[in-house]
Amino acid sequence: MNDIVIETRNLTKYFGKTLALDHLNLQVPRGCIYGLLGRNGAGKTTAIKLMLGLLRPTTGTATVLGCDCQNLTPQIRQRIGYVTEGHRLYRWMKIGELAKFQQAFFPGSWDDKLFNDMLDYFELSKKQKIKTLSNGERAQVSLAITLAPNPELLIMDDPTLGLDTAIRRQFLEGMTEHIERQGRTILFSSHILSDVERVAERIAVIDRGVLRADCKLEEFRAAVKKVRFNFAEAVPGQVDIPGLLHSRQNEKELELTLIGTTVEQIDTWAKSAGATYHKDIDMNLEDQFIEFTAPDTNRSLFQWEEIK
Amino acid sequence: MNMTLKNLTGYISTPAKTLMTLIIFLIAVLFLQGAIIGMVGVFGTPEKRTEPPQPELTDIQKERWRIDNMQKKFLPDGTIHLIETVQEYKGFLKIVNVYDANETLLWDGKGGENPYQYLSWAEFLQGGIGAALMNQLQGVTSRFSRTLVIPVIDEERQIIQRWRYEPGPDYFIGFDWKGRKIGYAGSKGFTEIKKEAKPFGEFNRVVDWCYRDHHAPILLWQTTNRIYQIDFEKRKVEILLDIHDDEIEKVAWQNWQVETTKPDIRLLNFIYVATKKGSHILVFRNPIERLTINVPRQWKGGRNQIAALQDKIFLKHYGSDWEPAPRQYRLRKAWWERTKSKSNRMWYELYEVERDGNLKFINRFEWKRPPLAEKVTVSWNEPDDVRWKTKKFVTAVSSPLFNPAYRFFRGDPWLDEFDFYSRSPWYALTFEITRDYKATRMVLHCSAIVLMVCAAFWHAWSRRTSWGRFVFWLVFVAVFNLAGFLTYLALNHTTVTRCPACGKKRGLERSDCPTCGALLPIPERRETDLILVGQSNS
Amino acid sequence: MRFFALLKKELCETLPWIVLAAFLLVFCGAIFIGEYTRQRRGFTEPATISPRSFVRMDTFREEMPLRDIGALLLYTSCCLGLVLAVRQFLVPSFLKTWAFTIHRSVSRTTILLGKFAAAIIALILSCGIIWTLFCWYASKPGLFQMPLRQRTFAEGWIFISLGLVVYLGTVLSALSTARWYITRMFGLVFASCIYMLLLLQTGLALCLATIIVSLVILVSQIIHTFLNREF
Repeated sequence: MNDIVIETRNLTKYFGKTLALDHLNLQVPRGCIYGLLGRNGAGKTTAIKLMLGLLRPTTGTATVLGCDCQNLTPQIRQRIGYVTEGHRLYRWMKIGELAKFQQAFFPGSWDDKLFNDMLDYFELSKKQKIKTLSNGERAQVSLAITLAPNPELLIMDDPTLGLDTAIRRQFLEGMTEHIERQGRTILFSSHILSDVERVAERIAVIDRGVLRADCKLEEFRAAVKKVRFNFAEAVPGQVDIPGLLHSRQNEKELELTLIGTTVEQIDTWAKSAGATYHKDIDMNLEDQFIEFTAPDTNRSLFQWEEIK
Repeated sequence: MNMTLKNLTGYISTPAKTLMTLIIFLIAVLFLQGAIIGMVGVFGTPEKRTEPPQPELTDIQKERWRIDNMQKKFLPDGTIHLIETVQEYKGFLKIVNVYDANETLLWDGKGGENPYQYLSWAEFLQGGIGAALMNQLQGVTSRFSRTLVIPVIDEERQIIQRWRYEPGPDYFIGFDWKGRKIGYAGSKGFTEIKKEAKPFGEFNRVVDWCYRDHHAPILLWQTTNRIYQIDFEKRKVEILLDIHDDEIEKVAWQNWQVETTKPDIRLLNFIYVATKKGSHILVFRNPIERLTINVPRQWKGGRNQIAALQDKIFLKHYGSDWEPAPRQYRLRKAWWERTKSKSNRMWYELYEVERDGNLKFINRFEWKRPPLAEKVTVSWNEPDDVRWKTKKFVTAVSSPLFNPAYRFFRGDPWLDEFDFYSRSPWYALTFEITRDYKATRMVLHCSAIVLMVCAAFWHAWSRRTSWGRFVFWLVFVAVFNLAGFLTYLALNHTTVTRCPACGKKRGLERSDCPTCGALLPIPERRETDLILVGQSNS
Repeated sequence: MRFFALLKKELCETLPWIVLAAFLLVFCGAIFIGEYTRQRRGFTEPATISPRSFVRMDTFREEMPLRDIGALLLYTSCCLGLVLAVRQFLVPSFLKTWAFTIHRSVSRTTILLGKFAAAIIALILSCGIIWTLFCWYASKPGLFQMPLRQRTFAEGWIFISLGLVVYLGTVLSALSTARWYITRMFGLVFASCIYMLLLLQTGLALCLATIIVSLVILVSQIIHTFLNREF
């Protein structure tokens, strides 16, 4: 069995003149929870839709479970569970009808017990109409009908969007419960970094259509640092340190965002720049993500100025 | 299977899409052209058309035209009279002078009191329902198509039967007053068995009449090869004429619908048929008899008329040495110049038709028609009103195919008695569109085509994906002009961007730049990118 | 089973419109026929036209009670076709359920065929069967002056086919990804042209040929567009 479940090669997508995705090269290993991160309009949904054959690439290729995305066979689609952005379902159907509809497409693999258990867990009834459900309940139904067929690959496009904390927690628990089965792979995109931090093993960060990070979560956490330097006299005009992403100054303080810079390199530069004191600033994944994807010209609202 | 269907539909859908878009734009351009011409005609100030003045005849000329203007009528003994209308009031109160062939005045007075009984000639079949109207009846409208229904009434004027014509099987089906089927009426007659009902043949015209004591009309049903008489009351179908190896060209009748029981009828009842192959046949009634007249081949059907008394049959032939107008319109100006100043010999000849069909000459009257140019001035110049001028410009964007199409579809309405709608509404519609919207100014027209092709070239150059497609669209635009250009734009207005390698415009439909061949640039890798692949999940 | 699941879903979605169209036809048609039979006194009537002058366009009359239903049938089937296409292809775009629909373990062709089959069934159920019933009723001996012409029955089905053409034209417009909004409407414009063209025809064979050609043009484009379209 192939270890790579999803692979993209130079996947590029133009919408008119707008470049949505620029030569994306991605590999999602089997059994992995893979988080796809990016700001609004970065290209996450575009990437997911390209992988599922819902969009056609301008150039490049993508394969899912060994099959070209532009020609996904019904047998391959049967192995993929897809949670759409916004959990768009047929509003006129009842939950039971929707389940029957979904079941028809997964004749051998539908787990009715699992579905019923999930409904019980989420405290939903089969007789409820989709249009009467809240966003969160709809998300739960969406997850239930997607997990019930036991898909080998689960692709979720911002699954926790609009959900409150408690529902999100339930959703993620359901997701991780699913992943405990052997060989299941999850690719999901999200804006909520705390959720990503909770469940993801590897992440990819897309910034303005370009893949900027593709690594394990710990590696990302370890690589993105923010260090504050204090200077007795003026802050140096030029900052020449490996891995520099951003820098800000405030009178005698200098804040640097560094990627992959080692401690020794930091110490060496601090000494050479004449810093009296430097310390790492604690960042959670959200802070790191914001720093990593911040645009080059970072106009601050406050007194911090950018030093190039 | 999905791939095969994708490929297969690709081959059909692309031309289908092009055809559909082209049809819509052709209609749109036609509509726009018509709207512009119409608006100019309504709101524009019409210029005075410089009509050529019609000539005033001199006294000598008036005298020369006098004979030509007179009616020429024959008496049963062959004598010819010339009838001059001296005074006329609204077409019915006429004061006439009657002359003999030597212009000796024989009588004058009110036209209705003329004592002479002239031969009256059989009239061509008119009225009723012709092929065009029959076609129109069968049109599929939102209230469904219609057909003929012949009622049969009883003494109390209640409808007791209805006979409905079915154009498909081409016979009548009868129903009683309760709507139950009672029989069929076809070419073989009335029958109650459907299999025995046979079609009449390609319909041409039907006329009807009804006798005073009859309870249903009688039909004279003309097809291409036959003439039937159908009596619904007596349930009788008579084949009056059947010419299976020829086609009926013209039909005239005299008194056919008049009841022959009246003894004072002077005129014989007959039908006169001229065929396309030059046969001239008379059909008489009670009993049905046919007589083929031996008419010289060069005598055309429309120049012969028949009159029949109880004891004699006459044929009148009209002849002249006038050169007929050519069929091609573009030759007519030369023809007019050639013939307008010539005076022509005109004549009427009267013959008696003998029992064996041969013609016995009786009398001839000849006169000279003065040159037509004395009476008529024809202007071959184009109209110069603002509407006509607008049309010259507006039709410059029409497809160049309209001109040859017009020549192909055009009949000659002056000479051929071209009945548009008896052919098909498509024929008529195509003819009218090509006639009204074909380009008339070739310089403007060609300039418009060149402009469209250049615009298409400029647009398509950066977007080209293959030379075949590129050339195809240029030819397409040239052939369909504005409609073609709009079609091209609608189907090919794809995104262009600047090639970072050569700076020229390029489309995104192909992966490489058509100018320099460069591929789309790969984004630069930054030092701060964290691409750490190849490490498995453990 | 998958196809039937799709078909069932499509039929359930369009059921209210099917019922509405059928109700409209039955209700209005019954009124027309009832009014006609109520006005007539017996089966005979005094001849209002002189037999001497029957063959004239202005005096000719063929009294057929279903004549008024013709227009109703035509407009109902066309409107139903329009509504079905909007419901099946435009509404999912607004509600953003296309991604859910496309990601089924069936080919796109099957999804499209499910929608087509549902539309055809809808037209047959709501217009075809009711028209057939009307014609059967009108042909019962003793009810009206003359039984219905077979051609009239066929013309009714032509009108229903026109509804299918309008449906396909609207589908093509709904699926169109053309840059200009005007050109997106071309499918519907083409269907309108076919509608007007059909009402110029004088022969049934020509009508059928027109419909078949238009169906080929529209269906081929729809299939190609749907199989290649982005959602």
